[in-house]
Amino acid sequence: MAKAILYDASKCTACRACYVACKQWNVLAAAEVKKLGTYYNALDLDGTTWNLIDFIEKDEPDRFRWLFISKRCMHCAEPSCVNVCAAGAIKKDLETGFVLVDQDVCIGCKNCHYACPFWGGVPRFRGEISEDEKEWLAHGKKIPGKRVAGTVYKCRGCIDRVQNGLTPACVKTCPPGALQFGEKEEMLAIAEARVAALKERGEAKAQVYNPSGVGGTAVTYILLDDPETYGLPADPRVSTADMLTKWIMGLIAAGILTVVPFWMVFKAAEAEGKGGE
Amino acid sequence: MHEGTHYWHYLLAIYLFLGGLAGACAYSGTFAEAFSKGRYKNLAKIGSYCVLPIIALGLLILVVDLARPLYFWHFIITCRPSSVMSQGVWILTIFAITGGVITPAFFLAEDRGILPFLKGKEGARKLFQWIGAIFGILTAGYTGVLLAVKSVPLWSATPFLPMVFVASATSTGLALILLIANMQAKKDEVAMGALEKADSIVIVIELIAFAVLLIALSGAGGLAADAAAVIVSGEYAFLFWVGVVLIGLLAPLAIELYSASVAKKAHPPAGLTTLASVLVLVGGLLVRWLFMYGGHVVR
Repeated sequence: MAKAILYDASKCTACRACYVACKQWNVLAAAEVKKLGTYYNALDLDGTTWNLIDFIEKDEPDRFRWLFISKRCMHCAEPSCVNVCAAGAIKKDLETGFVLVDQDVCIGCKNCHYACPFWGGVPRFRGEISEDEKEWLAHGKKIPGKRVAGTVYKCRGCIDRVQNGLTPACVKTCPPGALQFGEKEEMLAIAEARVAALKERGEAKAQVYNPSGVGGTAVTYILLDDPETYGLPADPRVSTADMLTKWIMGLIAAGILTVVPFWMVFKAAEAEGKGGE
Repeated sequence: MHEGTHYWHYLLAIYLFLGGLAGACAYSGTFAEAFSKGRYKNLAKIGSYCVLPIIALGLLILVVDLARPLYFWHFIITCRPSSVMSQGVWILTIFAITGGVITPAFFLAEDRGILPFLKGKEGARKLFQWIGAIFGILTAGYTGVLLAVKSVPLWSATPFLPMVFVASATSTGLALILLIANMQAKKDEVAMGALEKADSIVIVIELIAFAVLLIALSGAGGLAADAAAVIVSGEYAFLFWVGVVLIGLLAPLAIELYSASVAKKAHPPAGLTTLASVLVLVGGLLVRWLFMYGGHVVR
């Protein structure tokens, strides 16, 4: 049965415990951050930052809103990254529905990064492995997943925890209960109920984000505003969905060029009657 | 917000340019020979000799650009039809063998007398040459489709990018053959005139393809329109209007039209022909450059 991580933006307090828990459980180096006078830690996902809280300031006519969103791999039911990987390094775990990178197989071409419809491309590249991690491994301690320099990294859904009956680290730690984990259907039911309650409370734009264009996402959101406000595509598509159309367009161009000019121009030589040579 | 994710850069732009160029060298020459009933066989020969060095250079760039080049074989043992990159591995392999190695081997047998058992086997040569031409078209197409199946608005919000890439590739293929034909001791003015005429029409088609792509992107609204604005009026407008349109398309078009107009009275100056070819080749590279860098602005 497919699992889901449910993130409720209406309950999130942006404490970023999820961010810290992810770093701790997965032994990921702390991000070097600049002091920007904001609440940000890491500004963007990267090879060692698999989730983070993004802050959105929205000026509305009657109020100013400060919205939060947990940026992370959405674990699509139909993942574009899996489709485009020419090394066969990304696979979907059928048991949980999580999308996993096999670091041993990945060769670092970054095709998946560009195919991913979310967060400017979720899989992020790491050129090297940090001293911390090397030291950790040298002491014989275990690291969930593997560490290979020159490959892409992203959220693994804490599959090692889930397979042992635990919830993902971010869910486990979430103080306000904004993150929940369970069967997908169950999470969707909770989300629908919550959205109904939010609407009753006057949150007219409250909605569940589980986009059908990618077959639904194992990371399901309860949003307080339109997806675009959060930097999410309203209607994300599997990037390879219209591959055939695009191939046909390229071949149509080739077909046109074959007739005009090639056939027209080079045919003339034949008519001219074998001059030269 | 997406700093530090500009993973693909000029090396990949050069690779996409070379891929299209190699493909077009094979099919342009083949069409020239076939449609002229053999009159322009020399153009096919020139084109076929170009294929292997260009592919070799392109693959070298591609492998160097990989983070783990020693694991390149992971591509070879994987066949994933849903991945255009995987399709490309197989297309390029067949193209390199048929269009890059076997076809030129027949021509070499004829020209230099090496591999004598291939000499005079015109039927076999044409068979491999046609397979090479078809996979050359697929190679040129793949360089566009590869970008078109991403989640990058400029590349993938409309299905028209492959059209621009195939048109541009064709133009560069013709230009390279023209450039070499122009350097040969015994010039075939008629064939060169035909190449220039063909290329001028390809350039017009490429301009139309560009217009279709940009109008479709602008019409799609949202991020797609923003992406079009990046190259029409934004950060990459100079590269687009001056680099691609003026230097890469209109300038060589003007030269080729001028050459065609004087061709009946006098031989067009060789230097002008060389200039037109070089401009087309530079323009083709700038097209890949434009899309590679312009695509990263709006994600």
